[in-house]
Amino acid sequence: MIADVPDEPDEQLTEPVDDSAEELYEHAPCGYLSTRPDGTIVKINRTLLDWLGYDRDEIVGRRTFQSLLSVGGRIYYETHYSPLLTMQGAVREIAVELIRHDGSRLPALVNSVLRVDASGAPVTIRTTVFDATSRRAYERELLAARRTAERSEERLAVLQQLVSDFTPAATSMDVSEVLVDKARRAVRAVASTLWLLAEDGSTLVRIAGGTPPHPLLLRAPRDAAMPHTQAVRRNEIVLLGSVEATRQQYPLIAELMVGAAREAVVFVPLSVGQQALGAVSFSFDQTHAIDDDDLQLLRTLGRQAGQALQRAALFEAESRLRHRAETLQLITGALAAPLDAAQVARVAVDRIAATLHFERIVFVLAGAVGPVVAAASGVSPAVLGSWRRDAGDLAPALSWPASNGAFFDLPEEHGAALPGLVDLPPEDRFGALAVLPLRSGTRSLGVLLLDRPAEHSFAAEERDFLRTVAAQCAQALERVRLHAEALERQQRAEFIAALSRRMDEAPGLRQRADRLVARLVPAIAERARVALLADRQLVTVSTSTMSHAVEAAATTRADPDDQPGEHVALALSEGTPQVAASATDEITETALPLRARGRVVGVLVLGLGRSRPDRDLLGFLTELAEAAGLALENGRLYDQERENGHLLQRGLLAGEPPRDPRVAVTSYYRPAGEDLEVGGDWYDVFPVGPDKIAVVIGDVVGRGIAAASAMGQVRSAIRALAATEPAPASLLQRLDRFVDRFEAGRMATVAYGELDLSTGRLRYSCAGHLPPLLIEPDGSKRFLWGGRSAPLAAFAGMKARTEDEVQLSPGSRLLLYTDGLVERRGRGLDLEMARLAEEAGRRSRAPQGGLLSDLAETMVDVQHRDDVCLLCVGFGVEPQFEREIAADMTRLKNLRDDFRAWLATLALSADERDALLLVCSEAAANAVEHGYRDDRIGVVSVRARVADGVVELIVRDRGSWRSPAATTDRGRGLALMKALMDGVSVERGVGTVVTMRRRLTSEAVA
Amino acid sequence: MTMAQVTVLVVPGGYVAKLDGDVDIAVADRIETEILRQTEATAALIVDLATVSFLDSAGVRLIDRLVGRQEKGGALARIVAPQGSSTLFTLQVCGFRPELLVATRQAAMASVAQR
Amino acid sequence: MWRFVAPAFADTHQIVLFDHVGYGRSDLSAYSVASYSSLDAYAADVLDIVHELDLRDVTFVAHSVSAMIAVLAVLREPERFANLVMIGPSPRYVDDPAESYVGGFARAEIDELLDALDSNYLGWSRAMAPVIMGNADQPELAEELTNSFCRTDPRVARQFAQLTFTSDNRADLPKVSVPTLIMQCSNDVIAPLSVGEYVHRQIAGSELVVLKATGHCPNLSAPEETVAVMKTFLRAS
Repeated sequence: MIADVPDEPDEQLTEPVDDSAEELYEHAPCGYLSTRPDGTIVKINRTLLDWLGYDRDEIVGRRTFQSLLSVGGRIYYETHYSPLLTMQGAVREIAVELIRHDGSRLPALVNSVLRVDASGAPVTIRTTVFDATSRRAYERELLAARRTAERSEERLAVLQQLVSDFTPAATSMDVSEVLVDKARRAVRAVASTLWLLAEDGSTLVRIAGGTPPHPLLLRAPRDAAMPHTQAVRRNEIVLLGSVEATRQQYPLIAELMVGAAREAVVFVPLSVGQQALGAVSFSFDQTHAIDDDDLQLLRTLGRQAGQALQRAALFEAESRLRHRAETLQLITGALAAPLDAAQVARVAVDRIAATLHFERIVFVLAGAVGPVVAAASGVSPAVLGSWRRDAGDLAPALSWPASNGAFFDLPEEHGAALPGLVDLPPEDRFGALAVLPLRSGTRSLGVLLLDRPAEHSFAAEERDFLRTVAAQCAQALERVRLHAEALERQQRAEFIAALSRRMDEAPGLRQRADRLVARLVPAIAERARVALLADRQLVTVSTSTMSHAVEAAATTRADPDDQPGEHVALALSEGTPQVAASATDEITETALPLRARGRVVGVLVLGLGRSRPDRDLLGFLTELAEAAGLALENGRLYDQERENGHLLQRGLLAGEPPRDPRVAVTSYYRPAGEDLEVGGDWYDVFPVGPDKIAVVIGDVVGRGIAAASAMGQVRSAIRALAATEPAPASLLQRLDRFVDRFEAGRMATVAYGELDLSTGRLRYSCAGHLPPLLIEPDGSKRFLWGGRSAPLAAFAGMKARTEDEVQLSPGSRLLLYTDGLVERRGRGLDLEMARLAEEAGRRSRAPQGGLLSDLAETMVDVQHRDDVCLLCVGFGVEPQFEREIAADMTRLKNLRDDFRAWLATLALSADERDALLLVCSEAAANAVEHGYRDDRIGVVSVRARVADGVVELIVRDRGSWRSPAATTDRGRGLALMKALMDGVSVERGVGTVVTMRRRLTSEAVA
Repeated sequence: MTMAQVTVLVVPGGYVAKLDGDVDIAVADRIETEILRQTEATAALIVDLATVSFLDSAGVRLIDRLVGRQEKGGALARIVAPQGSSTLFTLQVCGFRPELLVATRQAAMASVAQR
Repeated sequence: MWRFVAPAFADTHQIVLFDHVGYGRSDLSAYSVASYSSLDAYAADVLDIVHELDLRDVTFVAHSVSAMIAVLAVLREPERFANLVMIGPSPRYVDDPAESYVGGFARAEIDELLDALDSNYLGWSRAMAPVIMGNADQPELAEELTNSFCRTDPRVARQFAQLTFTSDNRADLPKVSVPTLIMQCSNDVIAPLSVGEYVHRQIAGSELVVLKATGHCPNLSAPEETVAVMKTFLRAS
């Protein structure tokens, strides 16, 4: 360039040109204009007029500078240009667009200076205008480039931000939050909704975003004709660019767009490879247009979101599996402990509430009569209360047809099947519901109801898990049921065994029936009654309540009040358990047949409370009735035999002993151990002439009715023979022949004697029997060994019968006895007989009444296995009772027994006997209590005698009298004595002597 | 030696205390304790002496106290003492009010039911 | 903006001047496109200032689009504000033929405006600064201009302009309950007289004063008149 500069001056530069200031102003290569401060143009050059296409007249004084500007320029002028000019006096290189006369625009750069006058007030603005067309074009290109760059930068930033937001999203909810919130804002959409395919892949379910105004936007089949389903089906973006464009294909959506003032909606598939997991929609209003770049961005966003979703799904699935495994372990562990169904229910509900996200949990057990809500969580007290009263509403759940349960995502779906859960107050209404039957095989043990108040989609995996939980609960229930059943079976078996044992311990029917009833009430039944058939009449044998069964009369006659119900009649006729059709006084009766020897012998009627027994209980009761029937029958047989034996024996033993003042006869009979059969011992005393009595004691071999009956025959035979035979030996010979002929009583032993009351001579003969013991008044004693021969009809015995004679002195006693008294296992007979002689001798002065029982108690214990029979003949009546007892309250009964026996030898009225017994006991008790309060080794002596129709009773102690404690009401004893006796005197010295007298009635004296 | 026994039964409207054997000073306290333990004074009490073989003044006091407790509590008391029994004799001698004494348990139950 | 007006009130008021975030001496880093996507965000900033300084009985003097920011702030916490002075306010710049509302601009004009802003900033803002800086006569003015007008990120300006010209706060006006002065220039292309009258009608009890001054910035072009009107109003209330 420098080389091209000519050395010579250009010739033309010297030529004159019209270059006046005016010319320069008008035709300068830039526009000039001057305005007043308010913008009114006062001067403008030609160049600018030409550029704009105006005439000068159209401008000067008529237009302002700013009115020549485009709108943006005008605003800019007002907000920037003019203030700047005011403040700094000049602006430079402002880019504006001037509007030409023809409306086209002239891009320009303008500079202005403000001229002010001397006072600083603005006068004019001078402005130069440069044509900036090419520069503006360049700027516009730059601007466009910048915009493009900015937009793609912006998109990149949006995408990067979203991707980085997706990265930490661990759940699909996190992903959806990013999508519907951040992504929506990033793409400047006004609304966004997210749908995901449900587990089965056939339904598109709304997950997040505003509540859709149409159900199909909430849940739609994958093949529905909807834009979001199409986006998923084709895995492509669906753009609804305008309402009009939408109206044809999706009129519904078009309406919704109009309603919500949406200009456009884009449905973006959330893809993973060729598949779409769901779709997200972005709605735009009119301020935002969507171009291809936007769509590209959204497509990428959809792919990123799809991957994030898949990642989150895997993560969720894994953590869900882990959580469920842990939860299941917890629940299973907790369920191992409970021992009953209610506990299982409580534990299950507690555990599920703690580990699973259910709002309401209801554990229903299959009760005997219907559903029972055993445990619940999240249910209001009112609803729970109503269920506790009556859970009938839940019955359909209990008998749920599908054993693997049912899952309802919405309340509308289960409302029909389980109205009880929907027909509740709104706050208690069940929402999404899982109905999980608890079964063991086909047996329904209960049902578990799990609820979420809002809609909820039960995924297949969740369903499986919940079924597993339910199976665990069912197993636990079954376990406790089996446990309870085994326990119950065992308890019932033990109960029946114990009942049988207890009944068998009682000897007779009546006792056994009583024991049966006592065992059953209240352990098993509210009340119980045992009734047996006798002569085709039902007789109540024992009953727990006496209100309508007359206990005393029950054994002998049918109870008139007892109209057997139909159930009782049926039980008797059908031989099967019968439950009364209706309850009386809130108790339902069950009649159980009692069987023996293959037939129904009676009925056990149980009042079991209000509810009817179930099959299980009936089975148990039937079994119980079987055992009871057997035991009762055995009792009855025993009774019968024993009754027969005792009837015989009583009939034979009883009979008034001869009443003769010259002789006192007392007898004692004690059957072997209470429940044993009757034995063959007997005694007999009968007159054989005016001054002679026969005394007999014998023992027939064997036990039971046979023995008793043989004894009866022998006894009768003796009585018959005694009338004709002159002497004991000949009587026994005749008796031998009788026994030999009839076999009854062979080998029986008999001691037979005849006592002449006028002389005291006794002739006697012993057929194999133990020798009578003679006790003299002075205490000497001897066995009468004479007149001995073999037992009756003994094949091996001597046939000849012998007899002997002995003289009894007045006051002596003859004691006849059977071997039960002296035969002792492990002790020689001789020793026992010696002991008997010793004991009897010591009691030679004891009152005859009570002597025999005393002796018997001394010689043999209560559990003795043989009958004991004693007969005592006192020659010359003993007038006096004398006893000494240890100062011990428990000895009073012995004293009374003896005294009662002594009184029995007197002919007294019942009242006299009772009165004397009472005062004797009272006086003795006083002596024990007061005389020996601090001393248990003292002795109380009691003496009684009858003289001249007066009974005198003297009770003596040697203790020091203590006054009765003031607080006690003791003293009644003394009052009683005074009331009952004609005279009572108390002497206190060394000890206390109480003397009482009572005159006997004339009848008694006689 | 048989000890006096007491068996308490629950019947409609109250209790039956059934005594057995000899009721004397040796056993009265024990029987009373047992009855008090098993019954409440708010329900009727029937003291059944039908199978009592002997009743001494300690036994009488026992029954007297039971009657007192019942009547204080506003509840009925009845004593079953069969005709001709020594028990009835003793109670009559002690001047027990006739309406307290009944011959059979059924009669006692009936008077309980009437209340 | 307020250097000719504010001194007139220094004796009677505590004066708090601030730049909106993104402008002037504000903390430019606090600006983000997302968080300043509505005028509410600016109103919240105003209230933050009020709280921070614990201002009460505030007379809020607001120019142009700031008048609507002021309305939003006053509606949120009316108890803080005693008076509202609006200079050249407009609740909506775009005409709304459906409601016979004349905002002064057709939509197309707004697009053009935004375009103009774009081109100006690209070509002007950077080019202008050195010249202004070079004005040795009034260095403090240059300082102010640089700060208040020029030190603006084009992106901020672009978004703020878009926000301004697309906003519609007509519904908020009737809720204003504090005494309000509306100052309207005679010839304002940005806020025509009809808009001033509209604002006056919508705010019950408001006072409308039409200034002799022209343009959009009477606070700069006619500070004496502006001050006089404000003083009259403040005395009255």
